[in-house]
Amino acid sequence: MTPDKDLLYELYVLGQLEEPERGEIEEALRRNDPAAQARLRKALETNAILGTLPPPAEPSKALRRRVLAIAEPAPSLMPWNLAWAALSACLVAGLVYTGVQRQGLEADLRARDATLAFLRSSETRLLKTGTVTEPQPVAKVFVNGSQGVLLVASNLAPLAAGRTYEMWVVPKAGGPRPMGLFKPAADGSAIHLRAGAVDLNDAAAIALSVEPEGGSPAPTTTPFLITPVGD
Amino acid sequence: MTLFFPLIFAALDAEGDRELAVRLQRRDPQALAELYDKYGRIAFSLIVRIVRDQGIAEDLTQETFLRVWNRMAGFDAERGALGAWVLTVARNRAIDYLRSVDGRTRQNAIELTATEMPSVFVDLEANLMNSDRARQLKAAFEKLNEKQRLVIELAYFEGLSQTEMAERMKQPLGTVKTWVRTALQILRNELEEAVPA
Repeated sequence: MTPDKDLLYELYVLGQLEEPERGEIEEALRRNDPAAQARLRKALETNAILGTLPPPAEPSKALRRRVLAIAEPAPSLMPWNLAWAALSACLVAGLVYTGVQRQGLEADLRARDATLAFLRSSETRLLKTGTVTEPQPVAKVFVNGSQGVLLVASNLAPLAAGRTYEMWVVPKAGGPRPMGLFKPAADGSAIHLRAGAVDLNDAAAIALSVEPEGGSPAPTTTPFLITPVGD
Repeated sequence: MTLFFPLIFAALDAEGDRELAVRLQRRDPQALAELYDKYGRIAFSLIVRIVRDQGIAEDLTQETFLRVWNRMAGFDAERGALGAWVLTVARNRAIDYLRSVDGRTRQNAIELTATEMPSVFVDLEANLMNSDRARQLKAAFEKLNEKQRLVIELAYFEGLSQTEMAERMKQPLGTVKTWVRTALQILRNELEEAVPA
């Protein structure tokens, strides 16, 4: 039976075609074969229309702001007074909450002491993604090569059971390095300090991803809230 | 799978996309807003159908528009089809996500990326996503039998290979291949009848 070439291109676009047919199609496309390009276009059309079949779903309004933030100029440093105000509010809320829970209080206070010490250091720099007025997920990231990385986030999405957020240092080359796990409070806020020296010399960004409980050695979901590391 | 986007289809026509593409290539932030307003909801709907999680779908939709924004230089503003490209990028991001979660690394993962190159989305039919054509596809879907419809959904919305489908459906690989090919042929025939060459 003569192979149906249109069908082969449809299978190719759908990700279903195996060797040797797949290689043959790619070779034809590399040659800029007009017939191959025409078949590819036809298959792409069908594929695109298939993408319109699902029932409509409504994204949050915050998503539009997140997408538009893509086109914003590179973030500049945030005024320290605003950062302190936001962070202080988070810390006070955290302390009030933990104050009614005697168990683990000392550990919480130690963590906050470490956070404050980290913030007091003159070497600590603030990176930022988003702006303080945006209601969508926002992260403020403080970095200090000798003391670690502090993330102050809000409006994080609730996690499904068995999932956790994981912070990463994304180097300019090579795979992301894990920077600890955390879960947000019920209101979507989180303060996560990965204490200890961190090599930021080759760091391109700080990012988050959603991972299985216990974390992952490398991101298994698409990282988000990617905060560039720069001066 | 039975609902459609009659209003969105009208908006998905290529009319106006040419100017929009030119402005995107000039890095006009307002153009990105217009692109999102035009294609954001349909891209999100596709992604959420694939990953079935609102939050993850929003992350992947953002990534879709980031990728489109960053690759606009390779898009042919004169001949390109923005909507088809955005939807293809959206689907690929979602399928890549499913594969990463499932630990599925497949040979054709590279193939998906190859089929979203902006340069290939040229000279697609001008009214590709008008409502008549889309309704015709719906009609074609309704002509598929249950198995044929299922394999198309597993391939398109879950990114399964035919071998993986055969395992999941507990059917011989040859049978699954027949269902896939027959289904695609039916869809193509219906679309060709709707819009004769």
